[in-house]
Amino acid sequence: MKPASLTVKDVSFAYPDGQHALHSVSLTVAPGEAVAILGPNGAGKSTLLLHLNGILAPAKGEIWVGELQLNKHNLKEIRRLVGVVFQDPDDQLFMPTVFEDVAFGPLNLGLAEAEIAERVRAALSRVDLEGYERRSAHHLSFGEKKRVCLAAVLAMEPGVLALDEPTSNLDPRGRRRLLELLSAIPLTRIIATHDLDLVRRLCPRAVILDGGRIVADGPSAELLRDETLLDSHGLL
Amino acid sequence: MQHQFFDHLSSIPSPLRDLDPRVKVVALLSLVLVVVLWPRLTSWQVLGYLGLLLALARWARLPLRPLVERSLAVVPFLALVAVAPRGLQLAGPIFARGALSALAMVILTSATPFPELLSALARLGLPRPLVLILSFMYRYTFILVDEAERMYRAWQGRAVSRQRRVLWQSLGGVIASLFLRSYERGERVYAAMAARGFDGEIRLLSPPKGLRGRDLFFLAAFAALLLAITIAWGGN
Ligand SMILES: Nc1ncnc2c1ncn2[C@@H]1O[C@H](COP(=O)(O)OP(=O)(O)OP(=O)(O)O)[C@@H](O)[C@H]1O
Ligand SMILES: [Mg+2]
Repeated sequence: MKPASLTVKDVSFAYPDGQHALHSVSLTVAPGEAVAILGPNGAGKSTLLLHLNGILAPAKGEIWVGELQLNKHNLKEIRRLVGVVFQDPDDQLFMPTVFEDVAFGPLNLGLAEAEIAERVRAALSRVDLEGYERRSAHHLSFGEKKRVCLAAVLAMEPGVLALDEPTSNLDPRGRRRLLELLSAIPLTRIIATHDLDLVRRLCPRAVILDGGRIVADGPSAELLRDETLLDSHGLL
Repeated sequence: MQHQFFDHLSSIPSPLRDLDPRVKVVALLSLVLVVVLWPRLTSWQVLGYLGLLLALARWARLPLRPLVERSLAVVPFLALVAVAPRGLQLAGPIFARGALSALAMVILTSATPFPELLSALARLGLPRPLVLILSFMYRYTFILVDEAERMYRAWQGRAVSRQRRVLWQSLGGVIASLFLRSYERGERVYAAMAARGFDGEIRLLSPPKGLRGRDLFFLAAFAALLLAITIAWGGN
């Protein structure tokens, strides 16, 4: 696994119904850095994450991953490089078994079956789910589903991980487990969250997004001390 | 959550469950073909096929009750035939054919975990889009049932009006929003597939696996019995 840098340059986006979700967002993340994206509901966090691998295309602005600028010719390569873990694991686990779910990405990369099996094994062991290959997602706990989602993305050997509210709906133990896993992954991590404790533990840097605009960007220790700032953006 | 209704029978260990799913599909489908297409079934034949299926169910250690209940699920459809002109004369043979076919399929799906059944169908040449649709159906039936259950409970909680008409109207609303939610779910699942490199081409894993001696033995024995019953008790 080799962490990649990520640059969002002046990105604006509106949904087809006219809802402006992002206004000139700019963000540069160094290889291996862990950055939290904080913001109230509707701030545009999910919208921003969906731009990072080209699921949504910006109306204006550029996305760079390492030396690659996202465009329709390198979309596939960018999607391999930027792994997005969605908020609801049921959206991301759509195959009959855990094995097939984790193999889905590598299969689309056109890898040989032996290589795919090896990647699935490595990814599942990375999230402590060895032996879960033949289980079906609907027989797993919520925390296990979340970890399978993470494995499914890791199996593509990405350089950047983008996680949308990874700890929401997890019980304390499942949450602790996930935090441990995430802190041990040496990739560039961008984590959209409301979980201030996660930010403290995992992300030295935080960005506050509100109304589709970046309103603060700095060391999370400082931002989290600034109660008036947090309060005015609905984070307390 | 009521996930029991789908998977619990196929988790019972048995010799039939351990066979290659392809030979089970071929064996039971050929029984269905014979039962449906043989011009005039004699009572002896019907009893013979029934005996064969029950022996198979017993070998698979399947409890009889759920098998019979599930097979009889076709009865309401047969009732439609009975009201047709000359219906009652036809109803007997059609009932026998319908119930035997249903029993065969229930045994097949009860003695084979669904994911294995899917990969067997894929390797027997079922078109990939169909395989993918079936696998989504398997995965999302559970989620849809859960969602419907939750919404139904919420509806009951709010359904204070005693007026029938108002009640039915609000139930209509529940169903409409279930549709909407499923549609939105579909969009999110598609985004998750695209995020892992799905480009419209359906790739399936098919680890090359040869048939073993016992698979071939089962197939041969089943075919011999099927043939014997069909010919010896075929009458004229
Ligand atoms: N598919 C969509 N169509 C139209 N508008 C949308 C769509 N998805 C989101 N929006 C709108 O875009 C804005 C940003 O939404 P987004 O989901 O990115 O926020 P978020 O920060 O992820 O919020 P949350 O914390 O609730 O997940 C909101 O005003 C939302 O209503
Ligand atoms: Mg969101």
